[in-house]
Amino acid sequence: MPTSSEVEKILVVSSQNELAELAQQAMGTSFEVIRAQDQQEGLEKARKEFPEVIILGHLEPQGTTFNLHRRLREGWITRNIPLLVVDIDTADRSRRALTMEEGLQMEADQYISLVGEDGQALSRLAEPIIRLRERVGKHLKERLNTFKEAVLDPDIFCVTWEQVAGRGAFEMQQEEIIENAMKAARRKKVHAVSVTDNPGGNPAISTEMLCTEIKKLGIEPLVHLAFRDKNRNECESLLFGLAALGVRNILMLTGDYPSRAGFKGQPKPVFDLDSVQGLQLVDLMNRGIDYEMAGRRVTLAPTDFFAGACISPFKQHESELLGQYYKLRKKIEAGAQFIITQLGYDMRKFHEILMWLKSSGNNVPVLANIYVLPYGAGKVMNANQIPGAVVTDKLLQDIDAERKAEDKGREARYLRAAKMYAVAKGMGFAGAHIGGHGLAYETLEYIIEKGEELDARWREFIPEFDYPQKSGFYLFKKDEKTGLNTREEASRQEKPSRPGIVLLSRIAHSLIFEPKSPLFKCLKPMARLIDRSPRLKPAFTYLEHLGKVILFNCMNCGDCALFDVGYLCPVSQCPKNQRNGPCGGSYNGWCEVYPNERLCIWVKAYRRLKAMGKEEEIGGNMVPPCNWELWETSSWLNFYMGRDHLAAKTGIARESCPEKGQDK
Amino acid sequence: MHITELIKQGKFVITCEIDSPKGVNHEDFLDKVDMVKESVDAVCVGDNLRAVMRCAPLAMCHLLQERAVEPVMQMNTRDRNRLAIQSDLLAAATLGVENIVVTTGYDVSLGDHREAVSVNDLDTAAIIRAAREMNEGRDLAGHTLEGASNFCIGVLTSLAPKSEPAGMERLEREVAEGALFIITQPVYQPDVLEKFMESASRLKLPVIVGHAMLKSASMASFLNSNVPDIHVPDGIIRQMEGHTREDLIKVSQQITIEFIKKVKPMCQGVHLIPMGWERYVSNIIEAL
Ligand code: SF4
Repeated sequence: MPTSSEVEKILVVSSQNELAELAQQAMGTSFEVIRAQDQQEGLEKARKEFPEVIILGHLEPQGTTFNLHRRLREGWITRNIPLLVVDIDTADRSRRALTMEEGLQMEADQYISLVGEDGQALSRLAEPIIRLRERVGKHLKERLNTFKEAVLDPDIFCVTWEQVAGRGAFEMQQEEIIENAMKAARRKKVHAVSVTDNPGGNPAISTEMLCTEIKKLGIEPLVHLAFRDKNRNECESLLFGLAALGVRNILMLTGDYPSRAGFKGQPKPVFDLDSVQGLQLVDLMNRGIDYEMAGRRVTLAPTDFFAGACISPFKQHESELLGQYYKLRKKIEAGAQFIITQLGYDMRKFHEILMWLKSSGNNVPVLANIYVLPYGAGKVMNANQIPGAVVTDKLLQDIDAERKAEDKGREARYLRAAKMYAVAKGMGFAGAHIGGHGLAYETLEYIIEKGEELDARWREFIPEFDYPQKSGFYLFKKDEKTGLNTREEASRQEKPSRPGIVLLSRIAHSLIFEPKSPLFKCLKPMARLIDRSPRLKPAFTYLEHLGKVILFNCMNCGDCALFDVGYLCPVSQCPKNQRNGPCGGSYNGWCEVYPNERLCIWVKAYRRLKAMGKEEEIGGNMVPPCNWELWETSSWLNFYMGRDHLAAKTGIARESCPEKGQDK
Repeated sequence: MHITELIKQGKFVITCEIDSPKGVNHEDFLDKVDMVKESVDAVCVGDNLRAVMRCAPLAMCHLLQERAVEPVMQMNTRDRNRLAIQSDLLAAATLGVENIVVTTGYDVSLGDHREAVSVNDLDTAAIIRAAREMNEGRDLAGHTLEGASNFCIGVLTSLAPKSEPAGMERLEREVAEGALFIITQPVYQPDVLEKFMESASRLKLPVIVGHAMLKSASMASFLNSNVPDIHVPDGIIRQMEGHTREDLIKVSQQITIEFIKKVKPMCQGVHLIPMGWERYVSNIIEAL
């Protein structure tokens, strides 16, 4: 629901002027009271102004108030706006808001009478003002996003509970998610229930729809939105739907690569947006998308999303890890309002994120991932079969030893989670994102309670989470006293690649593609000539493509990103087409999709750029999503004619593509 | 079976009020009856309840009898003159509907036909007298009837503090005319009932305490400010605030259960008004 304006609005629909005056007195000047005198005006203003609360008083003829109440409740735009029917005067029965039958049908807390004991109107006394303020305040609170409040409030340690959506419509896994959410809603220990999006790249029931149901149960849902399966329009349309249904919390993820379990084979990986671009989309929606249609400017009502992203600090190599932090910098710049970590068990790594945020001057709340780890899952993760989830040999051995106990290691498992909770809280995380296969609500509550109990002793437990990866890189030097990190940055020893290709490419680039270079000035008219020649253009496009296939394995996207990724093509060489930094799935420097076979292009890009001392560029260069209008066209001509994404940086003016009629 | 007969057997009587349909479809009414019939002793049908025009209660009472559910028919003073009242009573007797509860009925200004004329040709005591006369084979004018009825006559009374003094006087007249049991307006405070029971003890009539289920804090506060004789204490309203719909249903049932448990030793029965929540009645009765 939109909240862009500074002053909050309250709509009062009543033929009695006193009610609007009362509301203004009750709410003070930080609220603007909008008035409407009849049903039609009330409906129109409710739809246009997005008030925080609507107050309905008496309307002529009797029955109108109830009817308007129903229409607002059922209306698509207004259904989530809190409503309050208020009687201020019952001395005259015909001026009451509701008839007896209507009043008895009010099933929610939506009616208040400001009438004194003796049936007299009290509108000039203080009491009705106080009561109205209380009730409106309560309604405003209902609208609050309690998850957002918990994340942003430094005094609240926020807990989210991850549910894994399963394949199928009527399966027990789905039943359990709803049951869990119901319990969580009732017990009020959890601030949000999150539901994964086609986990592991497998088909599963829609998180958006489950989350909409969860919202109705009285607890905030957190939608995982992975870009693996949806293009930008699909994302936007899902987000519109969620916004309209009051689901506001979104976790933006690249998503694991599609699994082979798809219908008749592996699905087409979409990855049209990455998480940075997704966050930009949400940010834009929150400000109100504004576009032109048939020569008219259209501004959409702003949404009220609270969107966050992930970070995986559990990376072995400097190149992998820095890629993560560079991308995190961009996620924050793109508007990430909270961060959740990937799962891991090395507390020095958890601590590293907080240190990085502090040293980079970023102040975004982070939730620590706490996964209740049984031996089976540990073994799978240890074998690196779940991208990005790190379980070291030592941790696996510890769990193996624990499962010899009579309870098969259950107690130890829960205690480990509780200790992680305590340490995360002690270190200064904003909350914990708790998950675990088949985790019962009672266990979750035990972990929270135990964690709170152990809270004060958190420093004692740090040595129990000393699970470094083999020669794993840390951003900061170790603090031997605490077992965590000092403020001093570790030296970055990873060997850069030989500067050869990159240097050459750079030189060539600055000669040919730098608007200030003399060569550019001659090349530009030539490019224009080719662009406008129906004979030259196809030949040129073909030759360019051929050359780039040989050099870069070019896929002819027409919106070239070589310059953004150290002269590596993210379309052909990154299975997830990441243009803004690595996904979370790399392992030991290898690409998630081709372990032990292909290096992650962002590892390569880092090493290449490092050779020139330019690796920081990864974190500074916001790359927009590929413009598919340019697919299979010459990226060089697009560059010179200012049609590709680089034009925004180089300032090259756009010249239209002659054969594309719609292009102005 | 007559309500008084059940009480004589030492039963704690449970009656349940179900709204007569506004319209000609009665499936919904019968569905609700099915939901409660195993748990209650009788189903009571209002007479243009809350001054809203609805199907005459006799038709519903007849349907109840066909399903072997004991009916209780309300009759108000507001809508008929003495001819209509007596002829309707005879119709009820003819169909075997014998439990009658007499009431004044809400003011027409509260209902859906606000321009209606309030008849009030007979007051409650007079209707009771008419029924008692019929049981002896006479009408109000003293004419002999063909056969006598066998009504069990009760009266609906308010016990809110404001109307109490006059109420007790009226009640005494009604008893003198032949009322055999008392049903009260909805009550939410056991101590209010306790006081009433003290002052009514000299009447020596069984008392069935009324209780309407509260479906939301809004509804409760609406009752307080719009229905003169009902008072829901603030504590209960607060108890109902800020729940999800599902929890609210539970809280509401709990309020009713606790109330009935508290008043059970004081009176002879409870008259439950589920207000559309008939499906929870069996839960409540089981929990007693
Ligand atoms: S190349 Fe790197 S960013 Fe791309 S999918 Fe592989 S691991 Fe992820």
